[in-house]
Amino acid sequence: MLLKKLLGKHILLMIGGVALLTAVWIVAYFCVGNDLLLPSFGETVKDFFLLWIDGAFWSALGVTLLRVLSAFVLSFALAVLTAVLSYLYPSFRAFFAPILAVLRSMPVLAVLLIILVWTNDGVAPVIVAFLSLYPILYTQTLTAICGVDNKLLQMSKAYRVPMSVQITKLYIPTVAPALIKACGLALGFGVKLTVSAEVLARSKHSLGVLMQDARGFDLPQLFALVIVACVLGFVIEYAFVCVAERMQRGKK
Amino acid sequence: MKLCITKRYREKCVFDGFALEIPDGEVTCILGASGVGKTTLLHCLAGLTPFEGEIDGKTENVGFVFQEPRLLPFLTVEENLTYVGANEDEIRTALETLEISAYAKRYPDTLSGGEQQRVALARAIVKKPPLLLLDEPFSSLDLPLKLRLLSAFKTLYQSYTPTVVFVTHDIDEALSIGQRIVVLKDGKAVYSARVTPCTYGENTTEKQSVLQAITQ
Amino acid sequence: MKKLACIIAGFTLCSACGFVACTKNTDITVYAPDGAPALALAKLLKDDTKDDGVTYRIVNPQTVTTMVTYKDENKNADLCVLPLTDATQYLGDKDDYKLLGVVTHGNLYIISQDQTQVTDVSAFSGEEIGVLQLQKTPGQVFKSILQKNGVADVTLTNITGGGEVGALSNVKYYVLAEPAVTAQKGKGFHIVGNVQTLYGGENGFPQAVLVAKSSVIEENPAFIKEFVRDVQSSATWLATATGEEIVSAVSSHTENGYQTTLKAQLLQPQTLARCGVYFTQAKDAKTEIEGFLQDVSAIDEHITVIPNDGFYCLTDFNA
Repeated sequence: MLLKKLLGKHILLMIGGVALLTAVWIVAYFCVGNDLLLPSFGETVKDFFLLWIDGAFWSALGVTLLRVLSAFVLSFALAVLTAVLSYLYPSFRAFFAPILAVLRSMPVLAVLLIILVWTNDGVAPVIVAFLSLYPILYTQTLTAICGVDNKLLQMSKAYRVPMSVQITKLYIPTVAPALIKACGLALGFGVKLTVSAEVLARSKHSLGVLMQDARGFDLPQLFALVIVACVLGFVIEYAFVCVAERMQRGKK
Repeated sequence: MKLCITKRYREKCVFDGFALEIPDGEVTCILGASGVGKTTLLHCLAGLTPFEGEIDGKTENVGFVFQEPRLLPFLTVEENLTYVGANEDEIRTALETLEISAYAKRYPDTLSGGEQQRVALARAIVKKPPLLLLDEPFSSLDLPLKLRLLSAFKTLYQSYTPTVVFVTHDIDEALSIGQRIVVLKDGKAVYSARVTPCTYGENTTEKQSVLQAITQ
Repeated sequence: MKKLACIIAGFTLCSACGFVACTKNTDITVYAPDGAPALALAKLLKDDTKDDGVTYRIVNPQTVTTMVTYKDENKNADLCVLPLTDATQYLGDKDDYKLLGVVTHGNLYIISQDQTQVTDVSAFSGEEIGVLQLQKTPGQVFKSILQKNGVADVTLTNITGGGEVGALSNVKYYVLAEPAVTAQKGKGFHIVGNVQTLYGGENGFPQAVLVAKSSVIEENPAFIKEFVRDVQSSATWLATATGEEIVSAVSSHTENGYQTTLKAQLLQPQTLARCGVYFTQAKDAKTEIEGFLQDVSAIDEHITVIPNDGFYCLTDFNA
């Protein structure tokens, strides 16, 4: 009942999906027949749970999450600022468009190699994540702000509602659900991107470097760490989406 | 209130030196075909659109009832009235006038279309604005509901007799509440007359005159 | 009509399966990783006529160990060159494979843009060092050296190849393997230390080994003896071979589009000499191997298997 409440009425289908993935893994394991190419599902699950009682894992997880959060906060703050400017000043939006296009199309993981030269392995993943998250958050924020109902804005103008009240009572509540959803998606994506960048940059004390280390001798642990990253991204994204959907409905 | 305005939209001139006198404290109904500029006139009065010319009268504090309720969906009825700057007493009075006190804590999406329009009416008069503008507020409602809301409008008008400019394309609606009827055509008032409000749908000589003015 | 179509389809399928079964490769398969271990088989690769019943494959070093760990024995390589620690960890407590001998004895060097030679390990104190494959033999050896000399305050950073040399800020020294070391001279790096010498053994340390299936050894003793002797003479041949010959031999035996990282212009005699390529048979290398495994297991918790005598093929191939 609680699971159904948390995950929605399609819980059985979702469990079915996970079961299918597991079945595919088990079949593939027996077909491949080489533990160094594909570890067993059982060993991986065991390692997954063992990770959570390992202090080094928690330390690495904390550092990685701190990187994700830093990149997110920076990109969110700049995204909101530039989106508001673009909304208020079409000339700014036009001026900013080519810069945004470059950021959007940049192959950030390749750019990581350049960034590593200028900075270090601790900061580079943050910058890479920032460069990826910022265009997404900017676009989502601007779309959300432009999505404020023009009719409500007109009504506000007719009643001479002060701008501060419009911002707090109209703009923010309208924009919040979409923005929160976008934040969830961005954070989920940020986890994946940051871990990938940490693997490439070999950032010390991180999930990425744990994965690099596991690659040598412990494939089940490597798979378990990948599952951790996936679960983390999913949980963060889902939590934000749930909050956003609750906000979208007025209370009865 | 006197106005003399010129309003152009790109190449189209809606009003060119259009002059109109709106008696204070009375209900002036504006009639005319679609696209003649009825809504534009209201928007000029409300300051929602720029225009050339001048309006001599108080237009800083207006109540505006749109065709749709235009309530903020994430605020309760009470909070929607707070949004336009009303205090608790004003809100209580307005809700009582429209007989919707029971809706105070409810959200708009739990109300029917007619109930939401009542709330919009309450919002329009909650601060007792001297100028009340209504832009076809009951056009999307069925007849029984329309009649109920017309009755509610009369109640709220009588509560403090503001200057009302009521735009509609429904002649019966205009004649049931209006004290002055103005028919617009080609940017001009082709008919303007004082009338006595009658029963909705009643066939009067004024109705014939208005019809004639519209169809000519 | 439908019945006939089914019969024809079934017959075709059976024939195809039979054809595949009949044409299944029964050659003896030999796998080796790219790099210095591939040099150990260079002469055999050069002389390979491709119809002598032996198939050679040079593979990505990241994947060579997977060639001996399939559950289906038929998929595993008959002979394989692989890192010693992988060989003992994955094969040392089983009877499927035996160790024939050591093919490379350490090809690790310390390079730096500072030309000051390092003769004392304490010179690394407080430094950050980029180490090739930190989790594997190079890293294990270097950590062992630091531990034996009581140098603790060293930061080790993993690098995966010569391309990352010079890319890490704050790193003064890199531990890299030949022939990649020679390639760094163009970036202004010089050899300032010999890991083999620092480790302490005059013969370096056992880095890559040759293993063979126990069944192949039992059923083909003459072949194994000849193969081992060819590997011994291959090491001697390297001293006179040209870089082009070596690279041609290796690159003609890669598979699945893999391209060798060996560059002909880098395979000069001095470089080849530093690759530590010479064969020591298991009978003579056993003590050295056990000593090395004890050293690395003390500093690497992943090394848990110290093989018993049964893992070593103690035949004297020179008799």
